[in-house]
Amino acid sequence: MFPRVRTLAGRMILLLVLGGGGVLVALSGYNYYSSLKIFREELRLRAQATVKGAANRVESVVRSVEKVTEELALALRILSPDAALRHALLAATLRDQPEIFSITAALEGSDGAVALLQAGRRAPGTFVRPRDPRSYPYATLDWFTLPRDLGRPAWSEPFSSAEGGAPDDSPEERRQLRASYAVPLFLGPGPSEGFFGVVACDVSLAWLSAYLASLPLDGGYAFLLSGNGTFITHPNQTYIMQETIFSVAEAFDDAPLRQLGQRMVRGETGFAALHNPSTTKDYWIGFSPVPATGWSLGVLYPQDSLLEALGKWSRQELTLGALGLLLLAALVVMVCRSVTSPLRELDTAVQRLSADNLHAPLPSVEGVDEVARLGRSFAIMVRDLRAHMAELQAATAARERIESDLRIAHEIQMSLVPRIFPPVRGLEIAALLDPAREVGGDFYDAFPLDQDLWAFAVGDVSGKGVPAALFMAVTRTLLRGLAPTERAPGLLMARLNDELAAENDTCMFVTLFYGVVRPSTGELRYASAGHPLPLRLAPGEPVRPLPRVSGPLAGPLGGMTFQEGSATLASGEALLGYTDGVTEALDPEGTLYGEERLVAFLEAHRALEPKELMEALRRELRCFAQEAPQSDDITLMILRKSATADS
Amino acid sequence: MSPWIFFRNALALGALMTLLAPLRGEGGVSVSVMLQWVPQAQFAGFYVAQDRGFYARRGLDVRLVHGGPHRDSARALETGEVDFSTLFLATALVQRDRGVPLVNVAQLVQRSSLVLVGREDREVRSPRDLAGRRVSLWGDAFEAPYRAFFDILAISVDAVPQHRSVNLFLRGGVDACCAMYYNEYHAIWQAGLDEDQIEPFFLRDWGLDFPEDGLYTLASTATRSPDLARNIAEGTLEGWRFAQASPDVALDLVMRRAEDAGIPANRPHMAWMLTHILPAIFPDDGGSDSPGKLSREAYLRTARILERHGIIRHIDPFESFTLDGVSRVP
Repeated sequence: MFPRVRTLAGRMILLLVLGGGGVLVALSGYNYYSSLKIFREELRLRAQATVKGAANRVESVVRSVEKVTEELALALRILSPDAALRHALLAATLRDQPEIFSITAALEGSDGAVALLQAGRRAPGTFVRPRDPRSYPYATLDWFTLPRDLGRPAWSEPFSSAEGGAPDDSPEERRQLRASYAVPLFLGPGPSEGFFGVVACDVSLAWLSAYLASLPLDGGYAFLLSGNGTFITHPNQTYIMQETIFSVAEAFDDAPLRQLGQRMVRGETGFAALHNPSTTKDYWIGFSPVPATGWSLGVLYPQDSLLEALGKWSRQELTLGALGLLLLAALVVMVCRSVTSPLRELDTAVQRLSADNLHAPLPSVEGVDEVARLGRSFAIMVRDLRAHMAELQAATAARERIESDLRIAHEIQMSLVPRIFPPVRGLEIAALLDPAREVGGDFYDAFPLDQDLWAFAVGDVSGKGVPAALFMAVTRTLLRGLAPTERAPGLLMARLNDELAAENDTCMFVTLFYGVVRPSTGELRYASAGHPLPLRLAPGEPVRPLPRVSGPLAGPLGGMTFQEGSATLASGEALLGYTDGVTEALDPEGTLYGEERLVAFLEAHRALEPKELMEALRRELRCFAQEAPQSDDITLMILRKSATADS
Repeated sequence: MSPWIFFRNALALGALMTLLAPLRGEGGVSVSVMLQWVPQAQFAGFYVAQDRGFYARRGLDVRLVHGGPHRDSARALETGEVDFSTLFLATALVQRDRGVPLVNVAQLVQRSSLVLVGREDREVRSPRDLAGRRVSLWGDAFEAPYRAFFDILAISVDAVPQHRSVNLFLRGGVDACCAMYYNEYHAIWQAGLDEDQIEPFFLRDWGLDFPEDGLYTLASTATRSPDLARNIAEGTLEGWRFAQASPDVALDLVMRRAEDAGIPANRPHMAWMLTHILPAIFPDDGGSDSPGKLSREAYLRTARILERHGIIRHIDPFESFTLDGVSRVP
């Protein structure tokens, strides 16, 4: 999903941008919406305060008109029906009440005649005049019929023209938007009995537009609805007295607007979101009634200016945040550089080191931070490595010396055992020695004692390596030294044992088979110091060892005796001497080769010539051991009495 | 068309123009027509006819004037202030009964749009719920159909005079009021009362389908210039047909007239009015009510109900009431 970023700085910047940017955006979004909520709530409170204040103001004005009209009605009720008195009353009222535009009264006398009076303003003063009921159809007009038929005072719907006014209104009067408060006049005795007329005071509504336009509405506007939903004031002049909020809703097929209008004309107070279909803008509207007149005042605040401010704020916040992120990214790059540049130097230095055998210099890293510690650790490691390398070189040199010594020792040891035997009349001799290491403790020997007498031996010194080889050399030298003077194998073995034991502080020992054979007759005498007895391969007989003789290990203890055995080798009979490296050869599973397997092998290959048999057995043992390392020296020696010697 | 035929036609047209010239003023014969109420879509056909030259094409220079609350079109016709007036059939019958010799030139609105509107919140849901209730009623010629309505229902109501406003109804002063379905009913709706809060009862559903707006002139004018009367009738009908085909053009004219006269009007209301008056001018049930013609049956039906309720005392023969009947008399 994300591209693989190769450098530490890149990864940190990616993390910073994704993580920090995400947090920034989330915070900004949360901020935006919570601010919107707060703003909206604040606006709601402000709108309600504004609209209520304005509605109260309008209410107080119309209430004062109501009060004046009701006082006038009371006076007309109790005054005697005298035309002059009534004129004076109307004139005085109009004079004292500047907010009243005109007064109209229709008063039925007891004779059924109607007195119709109108008081109005015409520069420079006021006038009062009677009017002809025949030319002014007062009884068809709302100001007269509403209070009469409702039985109580009533505000008329606002009117501005011939629609609600009289035909002989002056042009100025026709232009004026007005509303009438009309009070019915009752003579009693009941509360609405004895109706005899109506008095109505008109109030100009011109001041309303100016007053509502002066409200501080932050780019919004105010409007006033009559009880029928007709616009009394609105910034759009063509709405005034022409449209109702419901006709606008109808024109734009806007059901929510109609519902809002219904709430307003019902006299509810509220706050709501509003889509204005004619400006296609969204507003918040606060509304409140003017209870006296049944009007409703609405103030609208455009959402976009508010949202614009919020949006601007959010954008600023985001921009600042992004700048901060950029700055952080730059810082991250710097920090990463300060971390990675020593690392890179270390990296190249280490590469040079490996190419240059640890001699290239390491850069020095200042400070105490992890990178500096890493640099110092590297330096220590390189120093240790150098020391180790030096040690290793010394050790290698030493080992090579030893190895070379051992190689020479091997050569010497190999030269101690005869490789080639001179042809002997009546006897074939073959032998081999495979040391497990460079030098070993096994040995064999065969040498003539006189014309027809051969001594031979197979031995195995305890332990391996150089000590065993040295002990073997001592044993062989002693054997060769003693054999010419002591012809009896048992006695020779006793003397050899005594010699070995005399200076044997290390308590080494050797197993040894020693025999003397007379090739012409096949006569054989032998003794053994704890060594396996050689196997006889006599023609026509099963393979079997020489008869047992007793004899301890040679070397640890002097003064021992060794039994001497004898046998006669038949013509063509072979004798196989060996060390325990043969029978104790191990295969990879740790199984011993064993005597039985050796005997069976010999039975199977007895027809072979001594040298070939020896090689075959060597191969057999390698085959058996497979990959297992050779665990012990292997020594084989075959003597065969020649068939020809007998003939 | 061959050159000869074209020449012949041009000659004939020239001769005709020369013959007609003495009858005409500057733009044709000057004629005044009073429409019985303030400018509204009720008269859309007249405005269209004037604006689109349907009168001028007939050699007429028509001046449209408006009646209103303080200006009675029947009286203006009677006094000779205007040559023609629009009147409800019932009003015309009352005038005839008073001895004013007026003649029906064209019957424009064939069906009645009179309704009584009941307030749902006062539990007025059917006409019989009106029994004993306070109801505001129009007077004069309107009174008859409503009286007849209550007689048919065999109920009586506490009647309060209703004039031009429905404010008494809107303020709950009465439980029901009179209305033209195309006008006051919608005005009430435009004051915020929903359809489920007001219930209109159509008088025409109760056998009281009185034809309404007709074009009238005095018998003297009708006998002197029957062609003039016919031309006005035909021009007006052409205007209505145009309004039916292009209501938006007609509405533009209506709104302009209202504005010129300083009459409060809003377009949705005028649209409603036009939409609902057109089917009364061009009834889709066809039959005897051919557009522009007053049927004998409707005349007699209306006259008899008015007579029965003492609004008029006698019924003139149908022939004497219509232009066709009058102009046939030598």
